[in-house]
Amino acid sequence: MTRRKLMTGPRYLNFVLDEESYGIEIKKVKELMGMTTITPIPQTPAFIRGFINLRGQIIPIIDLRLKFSLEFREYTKRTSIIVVEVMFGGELLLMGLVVDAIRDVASVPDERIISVPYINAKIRSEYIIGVANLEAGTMILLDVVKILNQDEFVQIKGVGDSAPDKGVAQ
Amino acid sequence: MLAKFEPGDLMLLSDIMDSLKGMRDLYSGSPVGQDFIERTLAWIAGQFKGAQGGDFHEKLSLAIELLQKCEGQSTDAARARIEGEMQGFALGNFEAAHPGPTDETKPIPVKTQANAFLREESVALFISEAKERLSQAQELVLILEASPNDAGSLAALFRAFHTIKGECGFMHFSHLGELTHSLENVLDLLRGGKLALTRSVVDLLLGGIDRSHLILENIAEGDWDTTVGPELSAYLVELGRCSSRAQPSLGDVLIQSGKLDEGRVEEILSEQRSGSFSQRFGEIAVKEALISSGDLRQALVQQSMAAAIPDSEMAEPGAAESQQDEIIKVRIDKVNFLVDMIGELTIALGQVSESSVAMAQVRKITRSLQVGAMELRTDTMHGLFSTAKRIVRDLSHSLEKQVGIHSEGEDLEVDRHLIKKLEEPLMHLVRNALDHGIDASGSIRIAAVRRGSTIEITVEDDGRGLDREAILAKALERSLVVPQAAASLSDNQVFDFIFQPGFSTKASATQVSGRGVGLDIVKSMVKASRGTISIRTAPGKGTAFIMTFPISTAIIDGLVVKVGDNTLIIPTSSVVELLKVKDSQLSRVNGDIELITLREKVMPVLRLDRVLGIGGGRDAKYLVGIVVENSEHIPHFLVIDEVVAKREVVVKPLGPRFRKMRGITAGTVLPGGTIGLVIDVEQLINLALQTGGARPAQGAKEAAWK
Repeated sequence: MTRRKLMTGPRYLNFVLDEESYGIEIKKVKELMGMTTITPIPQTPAFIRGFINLRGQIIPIIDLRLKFSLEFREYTKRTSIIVVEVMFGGELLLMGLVVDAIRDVASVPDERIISVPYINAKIRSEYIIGVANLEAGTMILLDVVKILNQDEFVQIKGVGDSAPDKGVAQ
Repeated sequence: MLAKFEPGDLMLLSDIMDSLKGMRDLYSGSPVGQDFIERTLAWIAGQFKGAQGGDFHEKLSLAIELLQKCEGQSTDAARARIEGEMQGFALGNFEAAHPGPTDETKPIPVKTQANAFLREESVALFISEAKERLSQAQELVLILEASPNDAGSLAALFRAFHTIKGECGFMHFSHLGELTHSLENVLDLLRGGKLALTRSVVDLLLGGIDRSHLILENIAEGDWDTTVGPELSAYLVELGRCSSRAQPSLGDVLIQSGKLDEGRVEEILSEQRSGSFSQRFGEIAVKEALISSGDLRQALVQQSMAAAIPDSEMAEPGAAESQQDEIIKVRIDKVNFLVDMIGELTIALGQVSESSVAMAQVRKITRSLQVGAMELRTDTMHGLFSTAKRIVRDLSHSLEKQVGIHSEGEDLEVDRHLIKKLEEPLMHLVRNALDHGIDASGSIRIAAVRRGSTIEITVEDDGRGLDREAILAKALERSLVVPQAAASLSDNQVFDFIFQPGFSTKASATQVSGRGVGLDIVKSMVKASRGTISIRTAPGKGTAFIMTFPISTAIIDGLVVKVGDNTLIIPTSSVVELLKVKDSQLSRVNGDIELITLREKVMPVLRLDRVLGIGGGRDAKYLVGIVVENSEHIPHFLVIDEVVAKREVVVKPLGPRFRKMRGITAGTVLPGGTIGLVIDVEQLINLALQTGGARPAQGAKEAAWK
């Protein structure tokens, strides 16, 4: 019988993005799902892929690759959606995050978290809580709330500027 | 119930547990009693799992007997004795029979024993109920101020505080308990006719309601043991003095006899408050040489005489007691779930093509279910209007104006979400009417009325009305209009200027409405809730602000259309007709603005794909178009790819992150689970005007926009 080492501390969902290992707090995760039909939404930045129908509820889907300005990668069988619940303006919102693959759940005791100012160049440091040093390797812990609350979700082209649309094809 | 019990009858056992749980709530005044019931319950639960011992029946009846005994005791001493017995009994019987964590630990207060989650849940419930009671209480206080002899309202008010107090006892919120208890004392005196309902008493009661709200807010934020600040203790002292005196305040007496005016009394009171009530009111008044000591003596005599009010002045208890409807509490997310699921049911039914009599019946039932479910989310305007009345009451005192307020349509049932959104603009308008509309005295009317699929909220004052010339002068000064055009502006166009940011004709800013910031905010708030606001005014007669909002728009009738791969819903309310035209029927102005002439009417052409910047816009011989009208009844020709169907759709919000979207206001889940975006024609037309969507834009050539 193997004795499982009891790890205390908040648990994180471990996922892969561009061959790197990331974690988000499991408390914020509502459910995990595979890729599904996404209805595109006009007037939104590219990282918002569209809406999905989650049992009658309409929730937005954010591609984390695009959000972090990584190259877009076609969705595969391993591509997953992490449905998270975050507070925005006093309301609880559900949003889906597209990641390359989901791995597992790991407990991360606070003492295992190192805060490093610049961990990797791919992701803005303000989105990062720290790096967790675990037996299985390192995991970059992300602050979901910051990632999802910072940018405006709606961009309307042409409103407010009278300049003609660039690249008008006629 | 117990008599019927046989070993193994688990159903009955759980019934017994339920009754015990019910009893536990009744024992709010006795923590020991509650604790005892908790232990009994834990013990029964233990018995549930294992086989019941032979003495189970006996023990349980003994326990219940003890509880009954305790109930029957009227004095605290006797109750304490029984409570002692309970503790002994519990230790002797339950703990031994039920080995568990309770064994090692000594009597645990209910507070810590309760499951943290359950506690959080019940705290949330407690807060929402208490808030509701407080707003009800406020309404009642205001009723009482107008008709002090309304014994029914007084009784209801007493009940409201009493219930909150009881719940506080159960929840261990001692500060709110203390506060409501003190308020209850004051009310008791009022009820017994030992205290007159003067303005200061009303102030005191309203102050108590405000403070209770504050404490609740703290509790909601997790500060369960709200510390008593000096402010609260001073207030409690004041309350205590009020009830111990059981007579009108000295200030009131002095005002009545004309020795002091209200302003002076306020000054003295505030001085008294700043000294934490170390000095008596009379002492300060005499010291400040506001009244002579002779006046003081005379007033004190008057005060004590006024304390006794003949009973005959108290009206008979009215029928108000029986007015309370039976109400149950349901969490809003449960209701939302129900509404959503019924919506889903409608959608699922839409996919069934069968058209038998039975199916028709099912559809009919579903329809009424849907309507019924929607009504679950509604509330009356009572709370909102009572807040408005409170504002008028407090503000008119501080502005030294004589302003009355009356309301109409409190019973109108309105979607809760809308009520929430109404609050700010309504209060703003009421404040505005008081400050700017009415000079020295007058009255304000607030009304809610339903007109078709909209609800209309009116705030009207009988003041001097809007001054066209003053507004126009200000507009010219701020270059909002060129002088040549000024004279030709209609009244409505002129009055619309007051919705401009920072627009005010008042020379000096007042404390209440500030310097003209306000109406523009009201307008933007109204717009954000998809409403409109208009003004009706006549010089010398008054001004009315009329806000119109769409009533709960959860289900709309819409045309499901396709543009490229996108499914969009166009509400039929803005659709005039559906047409197929030839490309040659279009004409171009300035090279890029498309127009179409239909039956001698020229209308702009909006290509939906271009306006929204989405893919679509296929080449075909014919253009499929929908003639839509904006609110000014100007027709526009909306080009789409094809019409799929006309159907009722359940509108779902896209959430706060997408509120800034233009032309699209909501989404819906279509049969098959795909999502359709609901178009707002008015916004769409405006968007087209702003972005030049009538021009061919880049979107046309993109297969998809991402």
